[in-house]
Amino acid sequence: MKKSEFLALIDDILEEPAGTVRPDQALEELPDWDSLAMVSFIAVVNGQFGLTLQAEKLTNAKSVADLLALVQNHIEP
Amino acid sequence: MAEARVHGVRIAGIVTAVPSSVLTLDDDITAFGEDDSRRIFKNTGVRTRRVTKTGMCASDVCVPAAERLLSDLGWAKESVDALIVVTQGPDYALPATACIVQHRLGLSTGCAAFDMNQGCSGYVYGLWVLAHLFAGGGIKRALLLVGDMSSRSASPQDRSVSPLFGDGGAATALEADANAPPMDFVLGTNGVGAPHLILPAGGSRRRHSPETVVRSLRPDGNIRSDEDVYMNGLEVLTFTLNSVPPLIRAIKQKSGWSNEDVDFFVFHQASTFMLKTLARSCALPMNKFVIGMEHFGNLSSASIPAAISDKLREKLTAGPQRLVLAGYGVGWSWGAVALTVGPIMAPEVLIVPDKPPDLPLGPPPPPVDEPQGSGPTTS
Repeated sequence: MKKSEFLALIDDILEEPAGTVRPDQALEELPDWDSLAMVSFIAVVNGQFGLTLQAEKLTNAKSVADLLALVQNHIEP
Repeated sequence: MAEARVHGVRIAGIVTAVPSSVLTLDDDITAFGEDDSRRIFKNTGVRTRRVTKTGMCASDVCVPAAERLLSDLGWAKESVDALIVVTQGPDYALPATACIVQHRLGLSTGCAAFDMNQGCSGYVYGLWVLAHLFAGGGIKRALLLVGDMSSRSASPQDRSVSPLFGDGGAATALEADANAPPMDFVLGTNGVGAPHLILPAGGSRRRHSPETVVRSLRPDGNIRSDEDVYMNGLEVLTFTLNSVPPLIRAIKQKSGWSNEDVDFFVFHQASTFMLKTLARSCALPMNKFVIGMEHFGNLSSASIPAAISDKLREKLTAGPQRLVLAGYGVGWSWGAVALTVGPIMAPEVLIVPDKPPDLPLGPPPPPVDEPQGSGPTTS
């Protein structure tokens, strides 16, 4: 999967148009990045990559780039 | 995992019962605002749920459910040999709710009755235990009562649980049947999950006190007390995604059933979002996957029989259906059963008026006439 496609998945979770979130953004500045969004994120990652993220790894993520890092093995460089 | 194949027992009937009061999305909007409620609904899929506003206990819906089943089946009360109540909201810390229910139902004093403390996995665990009691040969008829009034343990200001949980119970009648198709079970436990779905106070570890009921703002942004349920949705989801697909593979292997052989998969109705995620993760065909929580919410151990009552009662009344049931959650605890059910008694969901019973301990015993005349007397 391309990086832009993965970011678009995050946009979809946040109900934003594709291309909205950027890797340098802090998660706490994203409106609606809450427990519901995190639950959706785990499900999306599971669905796309067959990967179940550890809850703690996700709650430790601080930026969109950190989210990308969680799935880096599945993202085209 | 604990596994078993049990012969000689069949389900004879299933009834779900819920209290009459209703909470709806509008109530959630009032509590949490429109935007949050819309997003919560997208996750839970719960449009309305029945709740008690008068302090009913799980037993107060299970008793009418059991009475309805006994009546529909034409079973004499004296014929019930065993009664299990699966609940995490017993009437009292002691005695067991099942003892009180034995009395309220007027069952024989020869009936063995006890409680089991399980939630989401409780229906499967209850079937597993009763199936084994039948296999021992001493039981001919039994009742499995399951349920929780979870709304009573959910802070109305906690958006992670209040819009999700509903109240309800179910009664299932089982009887010995030498010709019954086998029931296959797979069960497991991982207590590492205890902190993530827990009622922290009110039990023995931290007794009730004036402090334990104080509702305060918690780190997750919700307001609750230590006697309100705490649920970490992220941990629940990751547990579910890690544990349920292997459980389903195991039950298919144990039963020899593939997706084509199974008529319906009925999972613990945790949330619509989790159900859909799981169905995909377990590669289950959606036309066989029952989602029945829109008007119930998460009913804890009663969610599987409620989904059956809501969505499968006509099919089960008509003829045999191959079902795979799976419960998973609080504990962590999980279990699955592959069994053939039907034709059975499966009436519509009972709506029980929302009021606590006049006689919560059942009828007082009738006065015993003292014998007249001679005989030993105690002094």
